[in-house]
Amino acid sequence: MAGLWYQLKLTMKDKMSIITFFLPLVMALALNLLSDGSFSEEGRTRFAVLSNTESAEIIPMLERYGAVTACDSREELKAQIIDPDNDTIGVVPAQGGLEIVLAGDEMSWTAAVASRLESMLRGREQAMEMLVLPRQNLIGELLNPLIALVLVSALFLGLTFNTINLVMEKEDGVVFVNDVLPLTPLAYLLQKTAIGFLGSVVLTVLSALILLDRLTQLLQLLPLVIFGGFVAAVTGLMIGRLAENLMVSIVYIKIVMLIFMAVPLVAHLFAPQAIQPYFHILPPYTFFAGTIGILEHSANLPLHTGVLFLHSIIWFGIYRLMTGRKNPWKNWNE
Amino acid sequence: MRGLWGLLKKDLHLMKSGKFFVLAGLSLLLFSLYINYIFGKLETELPVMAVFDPLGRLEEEIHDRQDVVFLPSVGALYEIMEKGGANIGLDLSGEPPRLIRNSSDPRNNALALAYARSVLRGEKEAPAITYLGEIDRRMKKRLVMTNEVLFFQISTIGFLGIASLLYKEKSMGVLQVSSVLPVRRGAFILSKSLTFLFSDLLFAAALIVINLGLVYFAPVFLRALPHIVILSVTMGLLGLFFSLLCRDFKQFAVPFTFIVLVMVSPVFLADNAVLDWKWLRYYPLYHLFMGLKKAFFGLWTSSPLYYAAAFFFIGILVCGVWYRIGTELSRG
Repeated sequence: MAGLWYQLKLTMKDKMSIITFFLPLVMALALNLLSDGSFSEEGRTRFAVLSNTESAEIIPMLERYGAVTACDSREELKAQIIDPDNDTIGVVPAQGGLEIVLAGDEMSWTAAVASRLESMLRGREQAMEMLVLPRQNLIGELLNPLIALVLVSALFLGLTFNTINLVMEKEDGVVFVNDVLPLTPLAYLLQKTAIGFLGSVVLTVLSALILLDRLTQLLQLLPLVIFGGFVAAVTGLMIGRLAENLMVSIVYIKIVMLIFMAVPLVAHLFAPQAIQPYFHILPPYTFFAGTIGILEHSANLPLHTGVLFLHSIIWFGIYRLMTGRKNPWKNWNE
Repeated sequence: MRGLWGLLKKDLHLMKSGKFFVLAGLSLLLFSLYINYIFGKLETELPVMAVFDPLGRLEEEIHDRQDVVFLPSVGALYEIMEKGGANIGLDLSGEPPRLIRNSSDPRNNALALAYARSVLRGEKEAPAITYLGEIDRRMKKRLVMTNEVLFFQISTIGFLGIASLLYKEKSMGVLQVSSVLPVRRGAFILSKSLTFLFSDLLFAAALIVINLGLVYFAPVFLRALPHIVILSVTMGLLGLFFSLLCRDFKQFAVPFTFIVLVMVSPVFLADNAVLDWKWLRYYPLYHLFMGLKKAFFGLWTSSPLYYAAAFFFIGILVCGVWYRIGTELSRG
């Protein structure tokens, strides 16, 4: 136990680990703020006109419907319309009507408005009743995947702790190892796993406390976090073994994080239902799917927990295979 | 000159051993897969109208349009409008006809009302629209995404890469060797910046060719070139400065996180219209991003002031790095 405490202290000395620790928490807080609705009001339709006497008549008409920009020259009008940041409809009075100018890459709604603009401005009034529905949260549908994504990142950022711990030992030589020895190989392994595991679990639970509304959801999440945290810790051990130095280990962590975060999100959002089960090969996907299930009250917890448990065993087995034997090729070179 | 050539070769070799190219290649692959197979197929456009029309009041040609959906019942219409699944909803089963909206902006609603009236009057659409650009909606999305990826990659990976290079040199003791050898500071800075500029340009070229196609390569790449050079050199020098300032790689993590979170993310949030911040106009990196984006769309809008500011800032950075190298070498 004293050894473990020592290892934790060693990890906490490291700035990288501390930043890593706060990153998901900051993301969680930001997500909480976003979902409270600090979004900009939806965009208005924009019109661009030439500021000459002929346009004087249509400017007030257009202003009833959206934002109007008056341009001094034809060139400025053109630049305003092509500008990729917003959809702008150019309106120039011409003989017997209006000339409508578009860039060609507008959204279908803007293009639809442009094609009827003349009739809209000159047409008669006519009875129609309008019903405005209560507005929905803009990111309502995206929120659950985002919450799950932050939790996945928290879970697997935990692996930074034991990776960096291992690599630091490598870089500092055996000085620090001597402090925790004599240890049996098993105890050493357990301690190294424990750092990553604790990091993952604490980080994920804290993020979940910020993000989830109800405590029962957190309780449901806990088994997933425990097995997921173990997989994360073992992944951290593997990276720590493979990386020669700190820089390389950070590059590896980045690559692993990129894959572990991108694949579940993409699979969840875009993969057809039929092939989604195959993504359970990757542990973060199982965790991701489980979290989404909990958020949507449709979780198959025994299944997800079971799959993650299997992952734990398999990944640990792979790690043992990696390190348990001496490198079989080594003797050939020497 | 021979000294510079030697330095360049050494830096390239160090980048290779630092797995820098592996990271760049892998992110190129991942981003390209995303843009080509997922982002390209993503349909984010809402239908213009969702209509319940049991009496057949709308004309035939509207029925043929791709961006209008017809629904079998009032319930289905309300359901789709509640989810925000169309720009306007039209319930034509009663009198007067009813327009359904899920936005509360008065001008947008006035626009929607005028549009719905025009549709109901059965007036023909004006066919005479002048189109200025050659790109369509699909291509626009690709251009925007490619531009964002490029900006992100150059600003973060270059920054990280140059630091990892320098710390490797520090740990190998190359810096100490440099301090006793007659290696000029200018050559040192030039070689670092050039290697990363070279790899950034390579990345940009590959990204553009893979995701936009060969036809777009020459115009887009040439127009974007000045902005890529400015961004790459600035970020490289910033990385160099901070890595000279921080004692080891772990300390360097602080400015790195700061750069990624605080410098780069506001630009992305603003570009995706999630946030509407007026003060971004005073933020230099925003102009760099916009310059790059407009270059992608064939607009030369950056003023001489922009280039002057960029050169001025790069000059300051070079001075800063110059000074730091001096202290670093005398310390070593």
